[in-house]
Amino acid sequence: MLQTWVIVAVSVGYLGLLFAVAFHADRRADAGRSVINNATVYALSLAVYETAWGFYGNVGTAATAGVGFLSVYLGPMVMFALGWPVLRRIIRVSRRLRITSLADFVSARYGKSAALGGLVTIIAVVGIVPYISLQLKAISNTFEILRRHPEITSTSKLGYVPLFQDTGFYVALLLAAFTILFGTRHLDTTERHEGIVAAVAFESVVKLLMFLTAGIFVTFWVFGGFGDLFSQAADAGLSELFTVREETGYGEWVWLNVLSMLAIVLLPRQWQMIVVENVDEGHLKRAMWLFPLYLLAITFFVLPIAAGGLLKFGKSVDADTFVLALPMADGPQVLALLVFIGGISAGTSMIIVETIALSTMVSNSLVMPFLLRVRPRLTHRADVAGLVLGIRRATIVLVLLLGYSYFRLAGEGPALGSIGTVSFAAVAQFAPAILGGLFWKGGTRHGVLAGLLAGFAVWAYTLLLPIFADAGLLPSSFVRNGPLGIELLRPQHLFGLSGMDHISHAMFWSALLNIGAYVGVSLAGRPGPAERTQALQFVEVLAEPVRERRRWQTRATVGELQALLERFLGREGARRAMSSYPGRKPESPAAEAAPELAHHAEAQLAGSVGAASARLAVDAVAGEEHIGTDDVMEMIGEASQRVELVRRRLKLLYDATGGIGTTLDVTHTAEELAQVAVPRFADFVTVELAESVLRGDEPGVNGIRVGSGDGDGDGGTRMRRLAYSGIREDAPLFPVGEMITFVPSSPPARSIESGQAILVPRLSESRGWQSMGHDRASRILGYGIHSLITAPLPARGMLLGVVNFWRAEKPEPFEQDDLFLAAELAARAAVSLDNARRYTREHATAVALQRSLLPRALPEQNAVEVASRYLPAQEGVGGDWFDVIPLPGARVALVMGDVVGHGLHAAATMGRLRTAVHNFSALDLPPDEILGHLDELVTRIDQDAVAAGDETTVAGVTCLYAIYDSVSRVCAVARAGHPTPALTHPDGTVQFPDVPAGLPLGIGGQPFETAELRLPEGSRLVLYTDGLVERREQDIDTGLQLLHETLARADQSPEETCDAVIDALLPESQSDDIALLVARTRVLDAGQVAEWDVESDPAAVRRVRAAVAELLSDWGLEELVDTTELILSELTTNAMRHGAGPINVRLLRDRTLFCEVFDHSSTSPHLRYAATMDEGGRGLFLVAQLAERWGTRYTEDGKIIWAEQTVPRPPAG
Amino acid sequence: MADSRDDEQLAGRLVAVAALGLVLIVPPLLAQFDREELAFGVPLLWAYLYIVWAVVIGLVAVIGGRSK
Repeated sequence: MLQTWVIVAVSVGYLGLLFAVAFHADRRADAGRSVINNATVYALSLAVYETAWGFYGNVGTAATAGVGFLSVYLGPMVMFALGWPVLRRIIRVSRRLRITSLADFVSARYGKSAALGGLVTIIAVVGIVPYISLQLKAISNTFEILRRHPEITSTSKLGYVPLFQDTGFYVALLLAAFTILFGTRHLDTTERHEGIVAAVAFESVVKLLMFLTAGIFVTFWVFGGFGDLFSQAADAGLSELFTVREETGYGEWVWLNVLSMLAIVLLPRQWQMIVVENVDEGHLKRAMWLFPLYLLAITFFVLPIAAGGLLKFGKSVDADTFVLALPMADGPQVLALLVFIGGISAGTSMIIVETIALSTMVSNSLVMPFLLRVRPRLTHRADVAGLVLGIRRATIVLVLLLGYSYFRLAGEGPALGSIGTVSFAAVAQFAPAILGGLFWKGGTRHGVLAGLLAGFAVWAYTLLLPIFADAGLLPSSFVRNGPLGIELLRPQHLFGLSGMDHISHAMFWSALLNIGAYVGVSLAGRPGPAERTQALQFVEVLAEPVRERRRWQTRATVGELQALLERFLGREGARRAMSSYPGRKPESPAAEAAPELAHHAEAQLAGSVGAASARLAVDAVAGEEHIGTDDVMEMIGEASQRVELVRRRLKLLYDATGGIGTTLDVTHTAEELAQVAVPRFADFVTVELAESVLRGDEPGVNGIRVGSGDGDGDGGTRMRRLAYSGIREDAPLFPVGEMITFVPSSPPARSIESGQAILVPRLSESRGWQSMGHDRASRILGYGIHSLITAPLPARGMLLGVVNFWRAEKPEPFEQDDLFLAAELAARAAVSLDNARRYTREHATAVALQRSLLPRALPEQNAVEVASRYLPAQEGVGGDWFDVIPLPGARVALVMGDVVGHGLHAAATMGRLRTAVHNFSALDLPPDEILGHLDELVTRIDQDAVAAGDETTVAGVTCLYAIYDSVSRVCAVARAGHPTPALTHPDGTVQFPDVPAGLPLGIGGQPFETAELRLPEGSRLVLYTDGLVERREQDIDTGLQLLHETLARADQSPEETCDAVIDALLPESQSDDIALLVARTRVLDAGQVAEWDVESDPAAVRRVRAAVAELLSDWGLEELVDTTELILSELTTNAMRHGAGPINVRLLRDRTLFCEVFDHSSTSPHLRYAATMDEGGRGLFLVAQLAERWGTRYTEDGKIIWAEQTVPRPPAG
Repeated sequence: MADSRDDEQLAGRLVAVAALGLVLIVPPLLAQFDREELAFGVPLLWAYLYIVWAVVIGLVAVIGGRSK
């Protein structure tokens, strides 16, 4: 059944599946829906640690060393428990400095040294290539064994396989193709490979399942469970397997634990998966326990299988192949095939990731620095990206072929089995440089160089050379007797040190020399300025983000930098890199690049070609000079970095203080808050306020229930988004104006409830945030927004709303320190917002008050046609008012006044004065006298205010009072300090009539004067307040001139005149309120007026009565004849009896019928209730009964008693 | 709410767990269990190491999971 072609087909099919998984993941990544952005996938991808060496070799190790095989799995457990304090630092540093390989990390840590990066690369390649060959060998061997089924062949009997029949060879070629396809698709600054990570995670699942299946099969199928298996083993004398007891004590056990602890981080493939492919450092939290759990599961059946294999086969079968051999011997053949697939999974995933990591290191830390140093003009080549990719592809092929040839050359002996630990020992040499560099600032480049060289030399001498000797590549006497027979130099007993196993021996010497040289040389010298800068960035990575210390001079233009980026990253990549520059965007390509821009370019390049190469490339273009840098650095010292950071924060707060609250407008203030933080602090900022705040009301009770309206009931807080600011406009956040309901678990709701700013470093992990709407949440995440701070806006113990700071472009999530800055920013803005809110409220109150005080509708009258405008000031209410008051006798009073000042006080005073003017006008006094009364009133108000201790008195009131008589066409005007009215004659001429100015009211002392103007019909009288013509920046005459011109332009109705004047004169920023009243005069038709002189003779009264009766019937008012006759005779009789001189009688028919009787006496009549027996005194009483209203008014030479009767409406139709 | 003190505390607890794990898997404690004995039908040391392993994993999961 297990024909060769079946095995080949299944294997190729499996690899095809792997291609499909990788392809799918890459497609998903391109579509922005990453499959590897998941903590579980991350943990599974780390299981690349379990190689074919582990998959098969663990059982082999267990068969000889018993439980001792576990040492290489317990070390990772300890290291991952330390994941948060240690691994997170490495991830954070690498993310921040865009470090994409282990060599790059070492190079960057010690002043971007190219030499160090190269050395690390060489050590890694030398140490890892044999390890890769081990994988190829495992795959090749197991294939051969499986192929020779059902016979179980021991590996030593496999014999020589010709090159072109060797599976290992084809596997190497296939894997090279896979790795090139998915590992070097394009050059990316993050150096992530979604497809490969997904494939590796998939393979981790496969190998785990296959091994567990094999283990369960052996334990429960071949044997009767653990008890049976182990008791049989104990009976067979295999109980040695149950211990780790070593001849040399526990040295090897301890050292292997330590080695595996280091290797789990420092193996290039582990580094690639843990650090480079990490999407989110938060994933580490799950990996910290999930990955050790994976290792626990995959090793669980190792000892049972080893014991089972020994019981079953004894020594006849190579223990390394027990996993495969047991199913082959006892189980269904498909099980053996599955185990074989598991082995392929383990081997291929290791090879793929290892070669990618090595190729990145070789191209970025070895070849590119070398090329750039030898030929600096390379940076001017058009397509450096292609060159870099080419180097990587070549490296991948080369490394695989190297591995394969090593396996062909040396792989036939038993030596290969221990190469895994030898590789561990090689990469452990990086530990002092990397772990030391993370926690100790004092390490120097020279120290690392010395330590690495020493450690590597010892490693090669004590571990690698003996393996070569074992493989027959060196004479075996070299190991036995030492080189040239010098005993002291025997590789496995260096300087005569004996009694240790090889690993302990090698690790002792290499660690001693490595750490010794690193510390010793570092302490002997002192770090240079570049090294100190970098040391600070690495050691304090979890504290504040320290900006790279800027170098001082650049001589590159923006265009040159752009071109450089294009050559490395391609056009699109360069555009992205430039647009992510946080500082001020350069204006033109020809402009000189700021040092910060050059550094930004360098950081972006570092992600693709490594720190050292990037520095060389930028240096080649920018030609940075480091003149005297060291000295300057010395003086400034390390503290300058922090100072710079703190300075930036202070600057932001300072700008916020000045930039927020420039107006008293709530919306505008919110917008200012949103704008000040972008892009320096956040990439997007949104501000939400409670609806009530927008209206100026107090936001709820106790500041907790800030929601408005019905939103309170359903457990969500509702707020309106008021402002948005961002580096781009198209973020899928809620639009401005939207009413947003915050569900209780969401960050804003929590922020509102706690009153504290809330940090959500990774939105992708915040359930609470996502609960606001999964669609929108995934769109926001897809857009790239990844981190959020929500800060409350508190003011006087109340919450007005929240402000959200979002981060998208900057890759680092918000940190703790950002939280304080955000809270501080919000607190400052909240004060401004509250001021604006309160102003809004008071302004609204005052405007409402003033509006209520002004006439809603002007009364109906026929004397003039009026139109009016009132425009409140932008900055508060004023004290302007106007009025139109109909007076008896077809006359009308026009009033215009202005209480100086703004605010409630002015408005209230205006209200009192307006009422007073109304009352005074009822007395029908001439204008000057009315102003006199008002003057007294204002003086009294002021005295009252002073007596009451008020600080605000009426600063001054101006007023104009005009009475127009539509019969006589005379307009009597008096003014108290008010601007002269404008008068437009029907012919269009405009004049400002000469009316005595008078003093403002409240000054007192001087009487007012009335000027009389005779106005032709259709004249327009324009009354206004000083707000219309007076500006701060312009002379009042300019305003009057403008008014003059506007009025002269056309003969218009009052409404049109008002519009024209407002259009022409309304200032842009209106600091004072404006009142405008335009009255076009009418004249009462001569036919509606009748007048008689009556001599003091009762007969005359009769005559007048007759004439009146006739006139009224002419006017069609027969119904009023009787009453009018009665009224007139009573009034004339009274005048004859009490008055003096000639009597004049007048009838006016306007809206009502007026009867007026004039005499020359100024005695005032008064109404009496006559006693029953009194003969006289009934006249006025009668008049009062018959007339609608009656009254007296005084003229210069006498008085008029008038009575008004309503005119019956003509029957409708 | 994660502030830097919480973070330090988390790191501290994890370091303690790591130290505990390390102490339990090296001599002299290891040597106490390193005997050719079966306990409950399985090798004593084998059982001991897997129990230590599981406990460490559990502790890390609980400590890590409790922090936000």
